[in-house]
Amino acid sequence: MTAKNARHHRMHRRSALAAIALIATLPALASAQSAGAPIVQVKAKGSVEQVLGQIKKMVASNGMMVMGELHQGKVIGMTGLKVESETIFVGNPTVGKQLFGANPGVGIAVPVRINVFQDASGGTVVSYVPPSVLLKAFNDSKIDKVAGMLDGKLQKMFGMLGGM
Amino acid sequence: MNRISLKELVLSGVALAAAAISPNLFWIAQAGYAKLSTLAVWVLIPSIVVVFAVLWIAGKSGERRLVNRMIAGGLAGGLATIALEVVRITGFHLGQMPGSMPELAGVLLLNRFMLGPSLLSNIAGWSYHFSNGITFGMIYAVIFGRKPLWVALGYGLFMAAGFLVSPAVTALGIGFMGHQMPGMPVTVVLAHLGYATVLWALVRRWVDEPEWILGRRDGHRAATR
Repeated sequence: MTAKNARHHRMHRRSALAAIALIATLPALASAQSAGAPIVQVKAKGSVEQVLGQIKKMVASNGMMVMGELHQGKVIGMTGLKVESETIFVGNPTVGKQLFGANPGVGIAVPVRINVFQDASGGTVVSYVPPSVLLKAFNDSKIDKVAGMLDGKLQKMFGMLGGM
Repeated sequence: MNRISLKELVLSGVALAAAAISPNLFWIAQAGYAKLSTLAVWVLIPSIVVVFAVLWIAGKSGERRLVNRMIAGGLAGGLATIALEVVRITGFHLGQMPGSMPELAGVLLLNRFMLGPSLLSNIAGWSYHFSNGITFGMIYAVIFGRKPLWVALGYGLFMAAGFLVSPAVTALGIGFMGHQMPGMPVTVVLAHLGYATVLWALVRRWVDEPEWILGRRDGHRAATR
């Protein structure tokens, strides 16, 4: 290895280390790329059950309601696999009326699905796909406006959660 | 002239506390503290049993004033809810309400939000709605007796304000006190004023003694009416 190559190698290693350090210090609110759809993931303090309880209260105070729950951990537990995963569906009648009024096909994206799970390191993670991403396909400015508002509500809500 | 007896005061307190439970469960559930279906089983049904138990004990122990007020207030509250509904349904059809509250309560009570309303959930929701009207009527009659109309209207405004500031309204996505849908608070206030007016008129007719709960009562008149 020449001196020039060795210098380049050291620089690459430093850049890689810097990138790793940057990723490690990213704020709690982060976007991950998965199968082409950005998933917002927020690390939260507490068990899945505690975080879920906290989210339910935050949902109400942010002008939405929990419309349904899916206890995925329990369901998948029937296969013998032990995971902690809970999904809730949130929305409100006003937003629902606006979106479904604009296009009855929005049911594919609303109510908003929020997943709370325990990751491999034992931490609790809250994740969702921003409604604007799912609703963009409708190419409707009215829908985009409501979706943007929903994005904002979720971002505000889970920003608070990340700061817990 | 007799003051309220200790027994009547205690029974009234228990009746008021039990009657106040039902209307508060909706907002507690909407605030995310517990499911309405769970609260219905563990809190709502026991509270109704307590109301009936107080009525029975009061009847057995000769507390005629309390029995009269609970029954008169309950009946008046149930009928006054019809007046409230006339205003609320009109507001709903004029697009001034975000949704049908009794239907929403029904799906929450039977834990079937994702399935939507059914005949049974609608029956449950409307029953809950009317039970709130009945218990609010009981509370009014037990505390205030035959007070003037302005007291009843104040009571109606208090009910409306209590609902509007509750998380139940915020959760509907129309902002604090429904300020993003101005027709909604107007409908709610008018509906509760309608309720209060009918409640006042019927309580005035059916409650034997005019005094409020801590007022003096005429024992002789109470016994002979």
